[in-house]
Amino acid sequence: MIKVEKLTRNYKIPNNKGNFFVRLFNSRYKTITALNNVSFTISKGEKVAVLGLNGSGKSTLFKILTGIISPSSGSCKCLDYDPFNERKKYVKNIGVLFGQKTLLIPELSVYDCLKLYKAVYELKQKDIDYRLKIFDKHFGVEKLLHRIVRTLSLGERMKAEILMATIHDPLLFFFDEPTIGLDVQAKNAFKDFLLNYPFGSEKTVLITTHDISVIKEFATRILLLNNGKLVLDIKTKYLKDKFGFKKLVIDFKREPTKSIMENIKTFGCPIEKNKNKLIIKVPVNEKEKIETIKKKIVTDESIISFKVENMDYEETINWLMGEFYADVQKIS
Amino acid sequence: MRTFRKYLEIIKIGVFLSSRRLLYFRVSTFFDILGNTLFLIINIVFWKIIYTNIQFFNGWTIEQMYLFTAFTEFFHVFTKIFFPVSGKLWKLIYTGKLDSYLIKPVEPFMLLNTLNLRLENIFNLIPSVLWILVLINYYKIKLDVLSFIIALLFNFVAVFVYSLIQMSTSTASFWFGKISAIDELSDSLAMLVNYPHTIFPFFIRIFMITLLPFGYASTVPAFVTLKLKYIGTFSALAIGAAFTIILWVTIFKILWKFGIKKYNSYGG
Repeated sequence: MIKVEKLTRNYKIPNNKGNFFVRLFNSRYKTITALNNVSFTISKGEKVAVLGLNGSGKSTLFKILTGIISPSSGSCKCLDYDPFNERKKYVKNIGVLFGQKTLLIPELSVYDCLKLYKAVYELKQKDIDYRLKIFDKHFGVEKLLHRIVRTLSLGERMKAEILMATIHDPLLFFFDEPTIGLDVQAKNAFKDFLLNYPFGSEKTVLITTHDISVIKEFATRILLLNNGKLVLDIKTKYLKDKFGFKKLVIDFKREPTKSIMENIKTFGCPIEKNKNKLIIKVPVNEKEKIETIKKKIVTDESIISFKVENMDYEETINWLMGEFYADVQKIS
Repeated sequence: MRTFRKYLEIIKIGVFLSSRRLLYFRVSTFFDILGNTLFLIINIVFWKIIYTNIQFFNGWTIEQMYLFTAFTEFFHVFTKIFFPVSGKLWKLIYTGKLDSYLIKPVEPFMLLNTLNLRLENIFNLIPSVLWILVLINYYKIKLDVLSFIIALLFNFVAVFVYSLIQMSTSTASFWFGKISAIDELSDSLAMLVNYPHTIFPFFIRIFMITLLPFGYASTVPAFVTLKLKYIGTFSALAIGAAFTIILWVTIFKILWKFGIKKYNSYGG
């Protein structure tokens, strides 16, 4: 479905350092690498969340995969097309939604916009009617069809945007931070779509978002980018087993004593203290430490109970985007 | 054939969109017509003053010059109707809005021009048409329909090629980013249609009907309508027009092809 090999994209940007007069007559540029040697394969039906901080290369990757820009080196094949060189044939099969770039024409009604898409994608009226029916069943767009685009609320507008991006029944979807800058209503409209649209096992979806609940409920795989490099590629079902922490929760009768605290600190794990409760975060790859900690402090009579909990999904993603990310950055 | 039908459908949407705009911007359209009328009157007064003490200017009578003025107006109005945003293509490139066009299976420049048809500007033709009626009835200029239609076709060639020139200069934005100055340069080039090209030396007149299209905007149409000979035969002018179109289509296509490889897009 998507095969990316050693994809690199460089940008030449003006170098703003140096003397004004020197720069005036001799413009200087520096090259930044937005994507660096990225390789991966995505199979049909996968729902992939591409994560990373701002400037990590997510949008550049999407722009290459949608045929908007060309890679500096490396290759990429999507649906057996070269996205950039076979753009017109390729984009017939993809649906794209950019958070800050609208697909609608403000002066037209939603239905008139649909007519434009019907012409652009060479769709038949019966196909449009059929897809509208499906869409209406899930999202109730019927009442929006004859409204002028600029009179729509943000949530309604989001529904209309989604309708335009999907009306040609694409095989491959790209959603690039679709809910950025939107209000709760519009975010919910998008989430509703994502969770209820019949993507099935036929449609492949790539999404970049900072909304963890969307990733949690929708994505089957995560690609994590850092400084243009692919630093993690994992199926979400393995995420909690391989990354993050196990939480050792210890309840005390009273506040834990200094000596207990000192004892625990020797293991070098992050500790959260909440009155009579201690949460020790033991990295998944060092989980044998849990037993050692237990053995070391079990004799303390003030301990009521020990509990081992897994990090929940949101905590894991937050950890990935936070501490894991910081570690990766340190290494790179 | 399929592609042709597809583009025809898109043009229909463009026409519809244009009619919507007319409904929204009725007052603006009215003032636009007023502005155009004023521009035409100033032109007429300008030539009236020039002809105060002379009968011929560079071989033109005042009636012929008035006809020339009407075609000048046609050029500007047709540009406003069919290609009002060609010169703004660079803004799409510079701001990254081109992305929204590139994700559709059509040529972005074609979609841009179609969605920005401004058929409401057709009302701006009213002053020029009225002026031609005055020329026929009051100044007794003889016009036959066929010559007039051919003259309008030449005029449209100039409009079309001018849009290609504007889009070609806009592609500089792929390399240099913001280039509003080039936009102004192509606007200035359009001023060349306001003066009869007979005032230019021969080689510049040839230049204006081969490498640039501005001879076809008003000078050639005026000559064709008046059944006078301008530089060469009618066939020579037709070949020249075809050559200009092919030349600028080729230039634009080449610049676009290389430019789009340089496109960086913008924003997340």
